[in-house]
Amino acid sequence: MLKSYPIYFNTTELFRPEKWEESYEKVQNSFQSEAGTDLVINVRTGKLKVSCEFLCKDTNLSVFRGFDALGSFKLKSYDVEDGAYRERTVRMENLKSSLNVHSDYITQSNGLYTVSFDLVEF
Amino acid sequence: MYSVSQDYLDALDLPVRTYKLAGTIGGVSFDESNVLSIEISNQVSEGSEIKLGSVYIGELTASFYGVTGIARGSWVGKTIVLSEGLMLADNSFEYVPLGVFTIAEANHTQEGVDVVAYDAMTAFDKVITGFTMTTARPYYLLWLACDECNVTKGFTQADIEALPNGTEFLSLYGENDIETFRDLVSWVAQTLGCVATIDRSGHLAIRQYSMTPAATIDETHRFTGCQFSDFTCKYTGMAVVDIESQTTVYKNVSPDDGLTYSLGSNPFVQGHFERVQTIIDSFSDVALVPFSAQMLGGAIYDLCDCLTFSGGIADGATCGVMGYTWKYNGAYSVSGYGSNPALANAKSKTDKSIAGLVSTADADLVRRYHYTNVNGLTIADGETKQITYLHFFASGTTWLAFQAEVKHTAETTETTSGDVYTDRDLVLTADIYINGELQDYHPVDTEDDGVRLLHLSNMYELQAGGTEFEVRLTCSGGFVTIPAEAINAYLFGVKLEDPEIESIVVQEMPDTVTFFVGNTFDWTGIQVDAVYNSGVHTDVTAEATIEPQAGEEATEDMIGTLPVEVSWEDGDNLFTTSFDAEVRSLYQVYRQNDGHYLWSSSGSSIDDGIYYKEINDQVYAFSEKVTWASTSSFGIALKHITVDFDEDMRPTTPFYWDVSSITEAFSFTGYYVSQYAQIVIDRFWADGKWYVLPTEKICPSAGTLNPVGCYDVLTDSASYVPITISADGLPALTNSTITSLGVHSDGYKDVLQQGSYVIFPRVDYSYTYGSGTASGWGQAYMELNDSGITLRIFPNQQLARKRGGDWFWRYDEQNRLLYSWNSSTKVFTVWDWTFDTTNLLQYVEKHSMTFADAPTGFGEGGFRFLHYGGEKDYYRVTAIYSIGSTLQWMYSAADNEDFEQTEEISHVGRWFAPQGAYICMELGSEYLTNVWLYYSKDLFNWKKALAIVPVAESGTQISSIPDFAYGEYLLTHVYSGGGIDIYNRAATVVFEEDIT
Repeated sequence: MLKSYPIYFNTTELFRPEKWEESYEKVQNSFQSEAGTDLVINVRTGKLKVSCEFLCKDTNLSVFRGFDALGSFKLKSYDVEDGAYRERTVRMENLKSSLNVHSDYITQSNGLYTVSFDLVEF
Repeated sequence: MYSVSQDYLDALDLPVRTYKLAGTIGGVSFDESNVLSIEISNQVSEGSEIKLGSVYIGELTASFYGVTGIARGSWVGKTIVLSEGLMLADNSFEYVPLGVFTIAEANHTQEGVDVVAYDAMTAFDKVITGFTMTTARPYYLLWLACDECNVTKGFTQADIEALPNGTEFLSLYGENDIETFRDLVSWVAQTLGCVATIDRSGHLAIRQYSMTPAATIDETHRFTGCQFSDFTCKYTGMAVVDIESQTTVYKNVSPDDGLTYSLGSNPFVQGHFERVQTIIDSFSDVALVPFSAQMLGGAIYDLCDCLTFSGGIADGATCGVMGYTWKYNGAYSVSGYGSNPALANAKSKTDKSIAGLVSTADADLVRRYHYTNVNGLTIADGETKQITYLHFFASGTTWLAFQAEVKHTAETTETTSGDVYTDRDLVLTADIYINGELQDYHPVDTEDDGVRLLHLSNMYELQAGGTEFEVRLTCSGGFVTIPAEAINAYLFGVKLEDPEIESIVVQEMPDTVTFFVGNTFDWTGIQVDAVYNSGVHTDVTAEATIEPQAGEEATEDMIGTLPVEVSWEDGDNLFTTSFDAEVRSLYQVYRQNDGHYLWSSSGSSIDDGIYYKEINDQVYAFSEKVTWASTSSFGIALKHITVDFDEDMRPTTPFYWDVSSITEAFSFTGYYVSQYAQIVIDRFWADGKWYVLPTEKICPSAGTLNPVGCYDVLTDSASYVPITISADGLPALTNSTITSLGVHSDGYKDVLQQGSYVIFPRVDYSYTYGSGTASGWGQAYMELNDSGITLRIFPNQQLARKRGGDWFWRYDEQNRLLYSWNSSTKVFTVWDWTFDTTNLLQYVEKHSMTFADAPTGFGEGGFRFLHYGGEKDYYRVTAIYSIGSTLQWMYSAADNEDFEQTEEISHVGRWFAPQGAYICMELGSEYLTNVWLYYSKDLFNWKKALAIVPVAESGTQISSIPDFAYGEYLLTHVYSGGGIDIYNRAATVVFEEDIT
C-alpha cells in the first residue's frame, strides 16, 4: 500500500513510516427514549484518526514540526474503501520525538529520531 | 403531515437514523458540511391557549461555514430554502422540505456566518392602503392579501369555501382595527375557524385544527421528559364584542361545558353573529390534550396536525401540534397548548352573565308597534280581507296588548222584491290570527249605512319567538270602504324586539338553471325572500342582485356547475345567498326524450362541421357526414377506440370523445348511388383539425358513378390513411396494388354496421400483382382501428350478419331473394326460384303468410330458417319463426301454395333464437338424414352444429356425436318431404358452446 501510494502532507511526499495505524470514529448524538431505549442520530461515520511513527533525521523532524505548527493540512493517503488516494483535512496532535541512542554519531547527520504523532480528521 | 414514502416511514421507525441537509442561500447550494448549527421554530399559539386566527412568523437561525459564492454584505434579503434528508434502508436519502425563509439578520463570527431568517408571514406586515372598504368572500380577501404582499397562496378557492363561513361575504368597513394585511389575514382566518401559517413551500396556508391522527408516537420514539396534561382542552362557547352596542354576543353548542373562546372584536362577524355560531359549531369538535414532546428528527408533522401519543406516560393522548422546534441532528420538539375547562369556566360564565344583564335590560322595555294602511280598500259582500299585519320578535313569554280603530263607510245591501223592500244590516266580523292560528276573540259589529268606526281591543299571551299578528275583516250584508290611513292598529308589550333580517333565501328557483354556452342567463321565475329573525319572509326579488346577471352570456369558462350569487342590501347590511346553475357545452345538443340514445341526423353542425351529441350525459362527436338510423347513409368516426354497436347501432358501452385531444380520426360515408354502395374516405383528422380530401375524389353523385375517382382516394392518400386489404388466397393488397374496390350492386342493401365493423355482402376488387392484374369478389368486413382501416375480404365465406329494422330478407348464392318479411303488411314470403336450363329462364313462385301480429323474432335477430323438403316433385316449404319465447312453424301443405298451416311448437325448452347467434341450415342430403346448422357468435367463424334426427323416428342411425357438444337445444320439427317421410320429426341440436 504505502509502497505504491506514498503519503503526502499537503504536497510533501513522505517516506515510509515505521507505524501507520488508522482508526475510524463514529460521531453520534444519543438520546434516551421514554421507554429507556437509545435513540441515536448518526451525525458522521468514518472520521479518521491515524497514529503513526517515523524514523528520520533531524531535518525531517523539522518538517513534521512545521506541519504540527499548522492548524490543518491535507493528508493524501491510500484509502482501502476507494482503492485509491483520498484527501482529508487533518490536524496533528501529540507530536513526540526521541533521539535514538548513539545515532548522533552517524555522519552528516545530527542523529536519528523516532517521531510519533496522531493525525485527526476534522 | 407532509406526505412521504413508506420507506421514509419505515426509516422513521428505526432507533438509529442518519440525516443530511440540502438547501440554497440565494441560489447558492449548501449541505450539512456548511452548517454548524441550524434550527427552525414556528407556532400557531403563543404558548397557553388554542388560538384561532394566529399569524405567527416562522423563524430559522443558523450558523453557516464555508459557503462560497455569497459576497459579504449581501446575505440579508437572500432566501434560504432548506430540506432535510433521511437515510432509507437502501442508503439513499429522501428529502423533506422544511421551509423557505428570508434572511433578516446576518453576523460574521469567527465560526462562520450567523443568520436569522423569517418565513413569508413577515410580508403581510404591510400597511393596507388604497382601500378601506370592501366586501368579498374569504378566498378573495386572502387572495387580495397574497397578491398585495407577493405571497403565493397555498390553497384553492374550493379549499377555503369548504371551511366554516367559507362562502360568506365578509365586509370590511372603514371603522375597524385592521392596519396591515397580516391583521386582515388573521381576522379572515379566525372567521374561518382556522389559523394562518406559512407552509413548507413558502405559501400561505389556512389550516383547521385536525382531530384525525396523522401518526401515533409510542414511548420508544419520544425522548424522556415529555409532558401530557391531565385534561382535554375544548371550547363549547364563543364570545365576540358587538362593537355597535358595546355588548358581548355569546354563542355556544350544547352541552356548554367547555371553555369560552373570545373572538375579540372580529370585524367580519359584526352584524352577522350567526357566523360565530358557525365557528363554534366547527371548533367545538376540537378536543386536544396540551403536551410537549421531543423526538428524533424527520420533521414531517405540520402545525395543526393531530398526533396520538401511546404507551408510557401518554396513555393514548390525542394532541395537536401548535408549535415546534426542529434542530438539525438534534431534538424535534412539538408542543400543544390549552386551558383546563374546569378552571376556565368561572371566567366564561361571568362573560355570559354580562351578556345576560344586557338582555334583561332590553327585556324591560315596553315596545309599541303601529300599523296603518297606505292604500284604501273595499271589502265586498261575503269577502274577507286582511286589514292589519305586523310582525316582531318576542324574546320570551309575554303579554301583548292590541288596539285598533278602523274608520270606514258601510253600504248595506237593499233589495226590492215586488212590493217588499228589504234593507239588511251589514255585519263585520274581525278574526285575529297569531302565527296563522285563529284566536278565540271574534268581535262582530252590525252596522247601518254611513261612516262607522270599528274598535278592536284585546290581550294575547305570546310565546318566545317570531310572531306574525294579522287581522282579517269579513263583510256580509253589504260592503265597506276603508280609505287610506283609516286603519290604525297598535300592539304593546315587553320583551318585544324589532324583527331583524337575518338572511335571504331563494324561495323559488328560476324556471331554468341549465344553460348552454352562448345562451343568455334568464332568471325568470326566481323569488328571493328576505328572512326576518321572526321567521317572516318578505319578497325582495325586485331589489336583489343576481350574478351573473340576466342577459349575460354563458361562456366556455363557465361550463360545469356555476354558483349564482344572489345579494340584497338592506341599508348597510349586505345579504347574500347562492344557488347552482349548470352551464353545458354547446355541443350537448341532442338527447332523446326517453333518456335513451339514438343516432339521428338532426344534430347541429358546430365547429367545422363536426356533430356533437349528448348521449347518456356524454358528449359524442361525429364527422359531419355521419348520419345514423337512416337508410340513406352510414358512417363512423373513431379515435383510437373500437366501439361495439348492437343491432340497433347503439354502442354497447358508452364512449367519450374528448374533442380537445383528438389526434387522429377518420370519417366514412356510405353512399347509395343508384344501386351501388361506395365507401369514400372524404376527410381525416390530424394535428387537431380535419383535413378534407379533394372533392374530385369524393364519390360522385347518382348516375355518374366513377369508381376510379373514388378509389384514387385510397391510393393517393396513402400518406394520410393506411389501407390494408387482405383476402384469403390473395397476395397482400396495399394502397399501391389496389386498382379498384367497391361494393357490388347486388348486395348493397345488406351493407350494415355490426359491432365495430362494416360488413359488405359483396365487395368487388381488382388489383395488380407483378406485371399482371386480377379481380374477384367476396364478402368482406371493414374494421376501423388504431393503425387505420383494414378491409378483410372472404371470397368463399358467408359472414355472420345481424339484421335490424323492418325488413328481413336473404339471398341465395346467386343473389336471388329467398325470403322476406314486410313489417308493414306483416307478410312473410318465400321466393321459390327455379332455373330453366333449357331456355335459360328463371321462374319464381311465392309462398306467403300474413300475420296478425308481427313475430318478434323477425327483425330482431330471432331464429328463422327455411327448409325445402326433398325433391322438387314433393316440394314443401317450411318456415320456423318465433314470437316471444314461443317457437312456431308454418308450412305449405302442398306445392306452390301459400303457407296455410301454422302450429305452435310446444316442446321448445327455451328461447331458441339467442341474440348474436345466426343459424342457417343445410341438409345432409335431400332426404334429410342429417340436419346441419351453422351458427356464429361473432362476425365470422361459422361453426357447425349437428341436428340429430332421433333414431326412433328417422330410422337413421347417427354414428357419432361431435366432440363440441355443449348443452342440448331442441331444434324441433324439421320438416321434410321427399323420398323418406319424416314429418313431424324432432331433432336435437348440439352446440359446442353457449351461444347465448
